[in-house]
Amino acid sequence: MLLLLVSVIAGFALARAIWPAPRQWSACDPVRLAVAPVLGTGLASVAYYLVRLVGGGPPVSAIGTLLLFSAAAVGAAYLRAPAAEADPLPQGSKAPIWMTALAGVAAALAAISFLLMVAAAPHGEWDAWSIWNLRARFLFRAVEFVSPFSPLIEWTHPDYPLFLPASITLFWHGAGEESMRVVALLQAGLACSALAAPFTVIRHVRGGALAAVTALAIAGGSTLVRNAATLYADVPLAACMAAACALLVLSIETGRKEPAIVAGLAAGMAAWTKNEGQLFLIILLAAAAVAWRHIPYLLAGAAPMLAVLGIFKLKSTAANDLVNSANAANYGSRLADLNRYWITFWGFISESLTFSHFLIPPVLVFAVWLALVRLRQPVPRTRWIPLAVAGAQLAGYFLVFVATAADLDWQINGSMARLLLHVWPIALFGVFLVSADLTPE
Amino acid sequence: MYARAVGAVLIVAAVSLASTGRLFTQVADFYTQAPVVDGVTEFTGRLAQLKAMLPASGVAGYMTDPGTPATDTNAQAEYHLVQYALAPVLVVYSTEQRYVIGNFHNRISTGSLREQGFELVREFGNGIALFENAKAK
Repeated sequence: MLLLLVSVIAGFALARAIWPAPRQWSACDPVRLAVAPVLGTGLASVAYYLVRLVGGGPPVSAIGTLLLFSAAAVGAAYLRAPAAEADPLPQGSKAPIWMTALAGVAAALAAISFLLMVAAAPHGEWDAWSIWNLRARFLFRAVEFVSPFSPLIEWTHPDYPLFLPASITLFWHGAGEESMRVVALLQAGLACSALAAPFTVIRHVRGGALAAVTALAIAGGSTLVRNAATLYADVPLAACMAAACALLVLSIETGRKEPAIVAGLAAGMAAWTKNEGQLFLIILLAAAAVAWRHIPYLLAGAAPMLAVLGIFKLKSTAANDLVNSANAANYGSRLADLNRYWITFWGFISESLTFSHFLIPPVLVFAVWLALVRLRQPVPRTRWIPLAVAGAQLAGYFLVFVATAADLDWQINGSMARLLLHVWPIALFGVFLVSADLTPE
Repeated sequence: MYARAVGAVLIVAAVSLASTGRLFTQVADFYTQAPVVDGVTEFTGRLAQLKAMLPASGVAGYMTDPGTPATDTNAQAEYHLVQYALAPVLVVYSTEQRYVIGNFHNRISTGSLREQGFELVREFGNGIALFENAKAK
């Protein structure tokens, strides 16, 4: 538990080291704190992976490396603070107390539901114990670094990156046992990031009222809470994606380059979480073309994670099931099958209508929202980035469904809700970013 | 705040709170009826003694009731749980290993397995047994 806290502090310090601010609590520190669980978890997973890669035996060397990374981040943040430019001041009005209270009730209901779910099923659901926590167990228990990636257990997807399993393993070493409470706490921290990153950035650039609705809407998506309690890697991925997108927007809105570097780092961590995160990184870079000056900073931030991911993929003998030779051979015929497009299209429609079991389909809710509140005038092209990224990510998933060799109905039923969850915080962030102010100018 | 904005916020609040409220009532209901020990802990607990008998690493085979289709969801789940319990020993869904873990729901005679070359090493109860494959020694 203590190591988990250290990693969050390290994440905050890393954000301040890259994007410095004066030593006292600064205007953008809530944003830095919101992305700290993502950055800290990524740092822990990289520390663990690099130590195992060079043949170091956990736990002492891996914990030592994380502590070293943490000390370096704290030191750099401290040294850069005196010369740091002050954070830009927040824009917009404060939220009325009743809106803050409503958001608080939604967050409290979500938190209690999460606690009850992980208490009833501490090992999570199927993919948790057949992929993510299984890999963490292999890493924690195996003296060697080969069996966790053995082709003999190809069904565990040995090609999946290690953001979640490696960080869990390191935190288990810190706890001295395979504690499922640590896994639940990690998921809770990352779920908080998925909500807090869009919330704090909207609060900074659009004001407290729109931020309160952002928090209310994201927490209201019960799929986020449900999925966090399954202990899968989808909420961690959604958190990385939300952090990256929110920081890029903040960078563009404030004209500061440093948040874009942290955004790139978070996007790199998305790529290090799941293969879907690699698609996200490409899409984010493409979307940033409308603010092309930020692309080098995004790339600079993503570079260290891409290097780690590159090493992992080069050393991995298992091919992703989507691109292995047996499946790739029939791409053409599947992509030419119009029936697959039709089935996938209806899969998307039906899941998006029932997503999170809203009383009214969420698409309709936020269409009514925009009809009532209207778009902010004018809306610069850069403010469409989150919605464009969410749309492009879903378009990518659509093509993957059409091309997949797995049974299409099974694939749609088993994963569609999780894929929509990946873009849920980003899409809502996008909606509230382009909404008009709630108070008259 | 103007009236349309208040209306819009109340719509979002109503659907969000209804969604989280519904989840909360479902989960609270489920939690009060959930067994004290969850299914994964209970199932993997059955394998504790078996785990102690296996080497710290290596590969073990796995078999279940004859005639179980490869697509049987429960059978797949139990196989994955056996792997989860016994990691870092690799458990392969095959009988061509020296040690083979049996996980049966139907009564099976060890005699019929012996004829196929599987010597019973130990039975652990709840249908779990460890066999040694004479052909793979």
